Amino acid sequence: MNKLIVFTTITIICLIIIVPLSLVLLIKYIPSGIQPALKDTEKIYESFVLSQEFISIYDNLVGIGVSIKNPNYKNKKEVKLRIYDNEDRLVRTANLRGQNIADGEFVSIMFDPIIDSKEQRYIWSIESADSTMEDALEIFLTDQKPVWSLDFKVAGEKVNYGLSYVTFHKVNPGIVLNAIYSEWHRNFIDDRVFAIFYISIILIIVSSLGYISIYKKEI
Amino acid sequence: MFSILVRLSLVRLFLLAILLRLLLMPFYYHPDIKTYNFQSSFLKEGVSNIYTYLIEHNKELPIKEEFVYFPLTYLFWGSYQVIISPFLGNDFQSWVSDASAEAVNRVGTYRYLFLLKIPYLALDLMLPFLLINFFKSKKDKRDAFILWLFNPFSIFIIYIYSNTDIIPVVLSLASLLLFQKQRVILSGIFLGLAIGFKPYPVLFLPFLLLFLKDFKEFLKFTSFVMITILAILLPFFSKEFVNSALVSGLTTRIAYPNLNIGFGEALMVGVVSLSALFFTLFIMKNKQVEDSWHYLFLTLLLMFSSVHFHIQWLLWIAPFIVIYHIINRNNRKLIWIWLTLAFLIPLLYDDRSMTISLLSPISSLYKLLPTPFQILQKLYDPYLVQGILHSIIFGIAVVVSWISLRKFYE
Repeated sequence: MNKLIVFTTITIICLIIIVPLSLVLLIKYIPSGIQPALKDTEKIYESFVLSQEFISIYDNLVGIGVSIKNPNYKNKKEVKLRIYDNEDRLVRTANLRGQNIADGEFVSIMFDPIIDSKEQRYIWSIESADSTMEDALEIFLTDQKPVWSLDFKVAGEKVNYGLSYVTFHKVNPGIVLNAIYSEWHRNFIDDRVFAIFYISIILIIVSSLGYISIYKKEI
Repeated sequence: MFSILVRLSLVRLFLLAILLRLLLMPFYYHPDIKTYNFQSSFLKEGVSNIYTYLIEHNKELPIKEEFVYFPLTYLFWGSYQVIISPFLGNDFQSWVSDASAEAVNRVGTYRYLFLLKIPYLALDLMLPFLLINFFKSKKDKRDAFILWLFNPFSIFIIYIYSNTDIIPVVLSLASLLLFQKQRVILSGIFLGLAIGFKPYPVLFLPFLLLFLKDFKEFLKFTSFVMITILAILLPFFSKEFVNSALVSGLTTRIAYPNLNIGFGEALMVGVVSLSALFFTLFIMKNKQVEDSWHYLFLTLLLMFSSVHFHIQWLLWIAPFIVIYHIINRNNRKLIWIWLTLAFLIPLLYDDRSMTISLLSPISSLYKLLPTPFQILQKLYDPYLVQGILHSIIFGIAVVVSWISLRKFYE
């Protein structure tokens, strides 16, 4: 039974500390922020191209994350993402296929990093020339554009709303760890009453364990 | 019952067990805890029949799932929220109603998860005190006590996946204990209460009936089970209850997989297994009521091995695995292999909330990670791997059943 006690104790400690820390090493990029709330959708098919202008808020722009509707995987066609710089030069492309996009899925479309991307203007466009209106993928929109998200065009026509998306930026594990710790710390410490209560309970139990182990170990 | 804690070494272990659970409680999250708490929060607004309410108001509700549990789950969580409302604070209702993925990263999430898991902690710590009553020797009692407190599988299931299963598990274990002590009326009431939370203890009924001494006991037991169940279900009985709770989950899943035998008929593997087990007991002479737990254990073992299950359902069999481990010292490795493989299967489902998203209260960045399903997909067919694992556990279940039943017929 002693082996079980040690095994379970180590496992729980790993779950609390080692597993979250280890997984940090697997997180290669972070989003620009929280994805804006989803509203309606816009279809992409034939010549219907959606293009969204934005300012990259970090360096190492490496992807775009967007939510896509594809009921019953009905669309299986090719989808192209293009990134243009502020001089309308094509700087990156990425392809995906509708058959890999589940209905309502948040899709991360990744490409080679654009290193000095911070505070630069870009336009990303998404299209699916082989799709028809009947089997078109639908890209989710938002009416809560962040300040760095600029003009949005549907088939070349500017409209008031925008795409609901985030940008991804390649980072080193130190930055990821810092971001995760900051988030955890904010959520824990900002609920001050709970934080004090929780830490107190843990300390009481640890102290009791220590007291029993040291002073009552003959029993 | 509490005399086991007289020895301070066990007090120390009990405190360590509590500490380990407290460390997990605030920081791991499965969406089910929010869903059923959102649904149960309507009790304090005076909603009596949650099943019809959720269907009628589906369009305006932020979380649109049906209430798939039985009524006591609604009454329990709704009442509990009222009791702890001073500690939950003013923002709880907004948090529990927030359907967005960001809800779990709001300030207050750790407090809510901690408070909502306290009933699980209480019942989980109560369970070993019930378990020890299945054994006579002090050593066996001590081993069972420790084995439950430091069983990593039950800790994961209760505090990480945090579904409501520990409640019917404790109630049905209490019912079994009372049954073995031949207090059939109380046993029937507890079994009825367990069914009032989740329907799975219904599977135990046919087997328990075979251990009753005479028709008088049969009448007492079945009457009180039925009266309790009807008292719980009748006030909520409606078309919506039938569609949401009665025909969801296990009740339909036991019909699959099946073997087509033509003309619209199919042999249901789960029903075949359980029928074979039932009739094995039926023909047995000299049934000992102390062995009744064994048949309930084999019922769940065969059922899980033949249906697609949720990971939290494995909690139903966990106390029986502890009993089996203590009593069957020669063959117990098999059952732990079974449990380990059974535990792995749901981790390979194509469902982020089973693995990566469990860490989302710590940080939303963990959601960017691929799931084991997605990683495995790059190497092999994950569904095939699930099927292989499930087939292996079915094989183990057959062997364990054979070993167990052979003992009764020797």
